[in-house]
Formats: sequence, C-alpha cells, structure tokens
Amino acid sequence: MNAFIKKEFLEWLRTGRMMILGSIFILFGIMAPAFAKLTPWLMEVMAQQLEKTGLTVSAVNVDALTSWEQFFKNLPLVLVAYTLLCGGIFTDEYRRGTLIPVVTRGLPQRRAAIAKFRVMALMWTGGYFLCFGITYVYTAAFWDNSAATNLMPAVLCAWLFGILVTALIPFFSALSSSSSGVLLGTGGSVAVMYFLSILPQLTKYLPTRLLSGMRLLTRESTLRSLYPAITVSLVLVAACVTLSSLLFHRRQM
Amino acid sequence: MLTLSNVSKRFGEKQVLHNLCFSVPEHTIYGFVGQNGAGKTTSMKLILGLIPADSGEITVNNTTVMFGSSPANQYIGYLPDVPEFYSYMTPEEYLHFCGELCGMSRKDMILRSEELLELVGLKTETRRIKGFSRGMKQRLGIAAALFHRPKLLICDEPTSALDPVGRREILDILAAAREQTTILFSSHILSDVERLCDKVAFLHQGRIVADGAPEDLRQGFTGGTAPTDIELERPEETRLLLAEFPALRPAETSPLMPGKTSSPKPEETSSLKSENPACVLENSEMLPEIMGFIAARKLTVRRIERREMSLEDIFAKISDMQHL
Repeated sequence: MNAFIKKEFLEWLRTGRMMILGSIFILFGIMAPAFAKLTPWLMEVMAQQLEKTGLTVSAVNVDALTSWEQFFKNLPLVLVAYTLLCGGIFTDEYRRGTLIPVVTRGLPQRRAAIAKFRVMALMWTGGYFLCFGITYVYTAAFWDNSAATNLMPAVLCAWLFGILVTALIPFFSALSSSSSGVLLGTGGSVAVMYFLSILPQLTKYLPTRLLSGMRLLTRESTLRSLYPAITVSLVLVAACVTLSSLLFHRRQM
Repeated sequence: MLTLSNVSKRFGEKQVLHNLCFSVPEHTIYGFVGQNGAGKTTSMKLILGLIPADSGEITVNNTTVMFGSSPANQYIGYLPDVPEFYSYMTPEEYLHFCGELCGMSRKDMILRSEELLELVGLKTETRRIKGFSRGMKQRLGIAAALFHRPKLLICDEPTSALDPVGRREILDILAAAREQTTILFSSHILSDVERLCDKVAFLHQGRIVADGAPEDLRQGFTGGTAPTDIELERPEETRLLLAEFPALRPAETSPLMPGKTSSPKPEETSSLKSENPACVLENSEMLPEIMGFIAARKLTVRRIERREMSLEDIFAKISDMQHL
C-alpha cells in the first residue's frame, strides 16, 4: 500500500492538484483577515455614497472575532472547491483503466481505495491547517486572538466536517462510475444535512453543526453541546470508510 | 501452468462462456482466437480475478484464482489491448512503481528496469509517458507486465491497435519473452497468431470449437489432402488439361474457403476462366500423372502449388460450420 500512497502523492504534485488546492487554502487564509481589515475602509466608502441618499452609517468596530467570523463563513466555499477537485480521484482511475495493472499486481481495490482516502484526508488536513495558520498569524498581527475563546475546538470541529466530506467521496465513488455522480452524491448528502436542520429535534445531531464555530467563539454554545454532532460525524466517517472498502472489494473491473 | 475447468460466465441474459475447459502447458505461447464477443476478454478477466466466475475453477501455477484479491495474480503479468499508465510518470518511475507493488527490492528493480527498457527499446526515453505514441505505450506495457518475472503472461489483443511496424515489434518482443514465461495471447489478427503461437484454441460463442498445434489443425481441417493449384501460361493449355483429367476443376473457388464454391454470374465465370488460366486438383494422387502429361506436351507452367490452409481459412471454416 505504501507504493500506492507514494504514487498518490506524486499524482497530487505532478497533476497540479496540490498546487491548486494549496493556492485555494492560502487565498482563503488571507481573505478572512484581509476582509476584516478592509471592512472599516469599505464602510467609509459606502457611507459617503449612502449619505447622498440620506442614510448614515456609524463607525464599525473590527476585532479578531470579525476575522474568525469571516474564516468560518468561507469554509463552505473551501469545501466546495476541495470536493470539486477531489470528486474524480477514484472514477478517473476506473474510466482510464489505470487501476487494472495495480489490482492485477496484487493490491486489492479496497486497499487502493483506503490509500486514496488517507492521502485525501492528509491533503485536507494539511491545506486546512495552512489556511488556519495564515488566518491566525494575520489576525494576531492586526488584533488580539485571545478575544476568540474556544478557537481550537471550533477549528477542529470544522476540520472533522471536512474529514466527513472526504469519507463521502470514496463511498459515492464506489457507487457511481462518473465524477458527476460522486459530486452529486457528496453535495446531496451535505444538502440533506442542511435540510434536516430545520427539524429542531435533529439539529444537535447533524454534522453541519460543526461548521458553526463562531457560536463557540462567542460563547453562544459550548463544546459539550457539539458532542452529539461530533459522535454522529465520527460514526459516519467510520461507516463510509468501511462501506467503501466492502463495495470496492466486490466491484468488477 | 494455466487450467480452466468447466468455467461459465453469464452477463444478464447472455451466456458468455459455456463450461470452458482448456489448459496451457509451461513455456508455450497459446493463441486464443475468436470473433469479437466470443468471450476472449471475459476469459482473461476471469483468470485475473477481475470478475467472478458463475461456476468452474481456474488455477494458475496450481493456485486457485479468486475474485477480488486473487493470490494467483503474483504469477501473472497482464498486457491489455490499450495499456493505460499514469501519464505523469517516466517509464522508469512506472516500472519501479510496479516493482514496489510486487514487493521487489530496490536493487532488483533498478536491474530489471534497465534490462526490460533495453528489451523494449525505451532505455533512452526519459520524458514522461504523456507524450508516448501507442506503440511506445504497448512496448512499455510489455515491460511492465514482465517486470516481476511472471510465470504466465496474458496478452489481450496486444497488436490490434497498432500499425504494421508496431505490430511486428511487439511480436518480436513476445517471441523473445517465450524463454522467460508462458504466454496466453488473444487476437483476431490470425497471421500474428500463426507467426507466434505453438498452440491455438478457437473460441466461438463461449465454447472452444477447435484447439491444437497450428500444423495439426491444418492437417485436421484439410483431411491430409490439401488441394493443389496448377496454373499454366495460356488458357488454351488449361482447357487441354481440364479435358484430359476430369479430376481437375477450374479455379473458381473462393481462396479463403476451400471446398466452398462461389456462385458467380455466367458472364463473370467466363471472364474469370479466360483471365485465370488455373485449375485445382483436390486429390494429389493424380499429380505425377498430370505432371507427366504437362512434360510430354511441353505445356508452360506458371505455378504448381499445394494450397496449405492458413489459420484464417480454418477460422472462416469454423465460423461457417457454426452458423450452419
């Protein structure tokens, strides 16, 4: 499996996927504090224009929380970009037939699938914490990060949601032979989670709750209140990986 | 080396293989011939454990093939008709990747990749596979398939997508690989099979309808009496010969299907006869007598040739018989 993992890293590097994903994470990492820093200036420009219409805009106070608020707001977009980039990782191999020589050399499909999941999870982790690190450094430089309580738990919860999305990709790749099917399945699953959040009795169990890190930062909710969502997410990750492994094992080539 | 016992496979309503049985002895190049859809690729996928068999047993080097994770694959090298590679790798990187998957040592991988890249003529290629022609990919495919020194090399129509020069190169490489391994070679290019294979099996609608050494098959299908073509310089000489020997008949038979008379229109027949001063002797027992007659009358011979059946003729005959 190590040979396949090594090949996966080479593929991420040489196909430019790593560079694109890295650029996206860096961009979003810079965007959150930059947006917060530019907010007063933007409001000032807007205030001058709105003054003519009779509307007045009062001064805006910006601090570390504004930057982190933007960080958590951007996360769904980051996840969409990440899913689009990774959606075809499995199906492309099946479409092109590149996995056949690998399987005929003794690496079972399920192990190849797990190797791919591991590399994707590592790329998500690396990219996500690069994004977080950039935001953290800039926010610390401009304001004071101590204003954001429970920062690490909030950040880790959002990371876990990314791992769940990563686990959904091999699961839907085992069921579908096209990347559009994988994207539809992954996106559809997240959409269903958002849709279910309108039912109050289910809200606390839904993994999408892990993206509301700002509520932890502003002490509107506690880490304990997120335990059900964390547990459900962990169970779903384990279920997706196990089912993917079983489905890939029975997949005919 | 390879044995298939009563192997059957069905895809939906279609029974692709019916109780298929054959075995391939060690260090043989075994030709697997059949029309498209005869079941060649399905058989190969079953041997590789890529799809499950409905019934029967397949063994490679006395190891039973299993679907999903087949332990027999350690003995098999596989070359598909259009091999696909990770285009961002160089040939050497790809071969090392294959070696690592098989658990080869680094030293062995370096030596083996040098040896095989030399064999397939890619030793000086340092660019990535992305820019390779189809022929180069096929040659790299052979190197990759042979990399872990398999006991059985399965080639699924390896020459079908190549130009004549590429085909010749691949056949030469496979002929050279005969020393190292046993080869199962499927193709519908029968001249390739004839040139390369020690044994041939004809697969038709999921059943083996004939198998054996090409020579034995020819013998079997001609019944030991291959027809002889006698072509003289002038049509009037041919007419004289035909009048003297009733055993001779004018050459108006389809060259691909000996024994099966084509039915040209009357005007076509006469023009054929006038342009083609040849006749056919079905039984060679009369040949010395005919040659004596030719010598006595000083007839001008253009050609006297015993018509050997090619595999193509046999294949056509089998297909014809199966459709009757």
